[in-house]
Amino acid sequence: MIVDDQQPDPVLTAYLERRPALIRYFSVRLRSVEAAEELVQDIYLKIARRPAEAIENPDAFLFRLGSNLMLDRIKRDRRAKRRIEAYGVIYGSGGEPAADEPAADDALAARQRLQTIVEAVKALPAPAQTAFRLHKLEGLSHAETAAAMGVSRSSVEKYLMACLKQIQDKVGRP
Amino acid sequence: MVEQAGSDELRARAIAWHVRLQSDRATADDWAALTAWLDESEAHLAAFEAVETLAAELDAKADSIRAALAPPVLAPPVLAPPVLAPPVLGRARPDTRRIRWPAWTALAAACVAGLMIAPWAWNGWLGSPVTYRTAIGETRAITLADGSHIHLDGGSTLSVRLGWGQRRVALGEAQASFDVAKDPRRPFVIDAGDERIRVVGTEFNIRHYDASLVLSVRRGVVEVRSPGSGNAMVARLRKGDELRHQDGQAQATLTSVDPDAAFAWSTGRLICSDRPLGEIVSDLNHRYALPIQVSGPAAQRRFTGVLILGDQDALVRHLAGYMALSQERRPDAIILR
Repeated sequence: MIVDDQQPDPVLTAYLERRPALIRYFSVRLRSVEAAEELVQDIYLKIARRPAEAIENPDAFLFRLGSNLMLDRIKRDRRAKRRIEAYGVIYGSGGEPAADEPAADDALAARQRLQTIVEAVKALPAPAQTAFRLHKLEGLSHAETAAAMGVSRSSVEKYLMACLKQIQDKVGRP
Repeated sequence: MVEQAGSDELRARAIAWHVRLQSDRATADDWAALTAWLDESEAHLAAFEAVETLAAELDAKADSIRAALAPPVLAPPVLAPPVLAPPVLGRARPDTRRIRWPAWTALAAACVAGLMIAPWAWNGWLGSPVTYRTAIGETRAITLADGSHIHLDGGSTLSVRLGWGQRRVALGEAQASFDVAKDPRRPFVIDAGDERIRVVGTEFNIRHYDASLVLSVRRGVVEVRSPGSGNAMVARLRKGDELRHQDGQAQATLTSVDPDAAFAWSTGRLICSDRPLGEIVSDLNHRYALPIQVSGPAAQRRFTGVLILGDQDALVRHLAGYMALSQERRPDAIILR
C-alpha cells in the first residue's frame, strides 16, 4: 500500500470539514444524536483503514459510506431481534423448534417478491429499463450510464426515478 | 394539511431525493438540503426510508434480477479465431435460423410497443462471447478488435465480449497480461473469481489459479470491486501496486512490488521474490506437461530468484539444487522433497 506523506488525504480532509453536517444528517435519520455520533465515528474508522485510492467526490463518498453503515446496522439489529423472538418461542411455549433460516413460506414470499420486481422492470419503457440495468445491476455511475446510452445525466436520473416509482408501486412498502 | 407517507406526490419527492443523491455530482449542500427536508416531518422521513430500503433490497438482489431479466445467452464457441471477430450467429446450424425467425418478429413487435429491450440490443451492448484457451505449455498473443492486447499463459481460459457499451472479460483458471486500449466510453471490466476489475486504459497482469487472485499493475489505474458486496470498491491500484485475494474471503492485501516481475513470464522468465515453493510450482505446472509435486513441508519453503522457463529438467535441477531438495522422476510427475 502506498501512502503519500506529502499530501493530506482528501477524504480525511473532507471528513473533518463535513463532520458536523454528517452528524446533523444521521441525527435526523437515526432520530438520535448519540447514535449519529457513534455512526460518524465508525465512518472515520472505515476511511482511516481503507486502502489508498483516489475518490472523485469525497463528500458524496462520506455520506454514502455512512448510509451503508446505517443500513448494515439496521439489518443486523433486525436479525438479532428475529433470533431473540425465536428463542422466545423455545423458552416461552416450550417444544416449538426455532430456526435461524427463514421459514418455507418466507422463502416462497421472497421468490414471489423477486418475481414481482422482475415483472415491474420488464414493464418499463426500454430506455428506463436500460438505465436500470446499467446503473443498478451493472454498477455503472450516472455519468457512465449517460455516456453509454448517449443521453444526458438528467435523463438518466429521470429514468431511474421512473424505475423506482414503478417498482415501489408494484411491490408496495417493504 | 398532513402529508401521508404513501401519497404519490410525497413518494415521488422521496425518490427524486434518493436518485439525486446517488449521482456522482451530489454535493454536501445537497445533503444539507435533504437533512432539512427530512427534518420537516416524520412523513418525509418515512417516505425516504422506504425508498432507501427498496434501493438496498434491489442492490442485494441485483444478481437474481439480472439472471431473471437477461435473455438466454448463446453458448460461447469452444475454440475461437486468434483475432477477435464476432461469430456469425446461427451459421453452423440451419435449424437455429428457423427457430430464430418467429422469435425475431415477436421481439420486433415488442420493441415497437416499447415494452422491453430487444435481445439484439442487449447482445450488442454486451457483445458476443468469444472464448480463448491455451494448452499447458502453450502461450498465446491475442489482439482484440479494439486494439487491446492480451497475452495468455499456458493452461488458461478466458472469454471476451466486446460490446457497444463495455468490454468484458471473464477469467477462468488463467494467467494473462493485459495492455488495454484507452476508451473512456467503453470501460474494460474483468470478472475473476469474486472480484471485478475495471480499467480504462492500462497495462497489468492477472494470475487467477486455485481460487487465488494476484493482480499487478504496470501502467495506469485499475479499480477492483466486489460484486458480492454491492459492488463495493475494494481498492484502486496504480503502477507498482499488487493486490492478492482468495476467493470467498472478505479481505484483500495490497502491497508495493516491482511490476515487471509479474510480467516476466511473458518473456520466458519467472521472477520470484520470497514466494512459497508451492505457489511457484503451481505456476510451473501451467507451463510444463509433466507436473511437479512438492511434499508438505517443502511447499512452505520460500524462494527468491529468477527461473528461466526453458528446459524443464534444467529448471528443476536448478531449483532443487538451490533449495537443497531431492528430486524423484516418475513417469507421471516429478516429486520434490
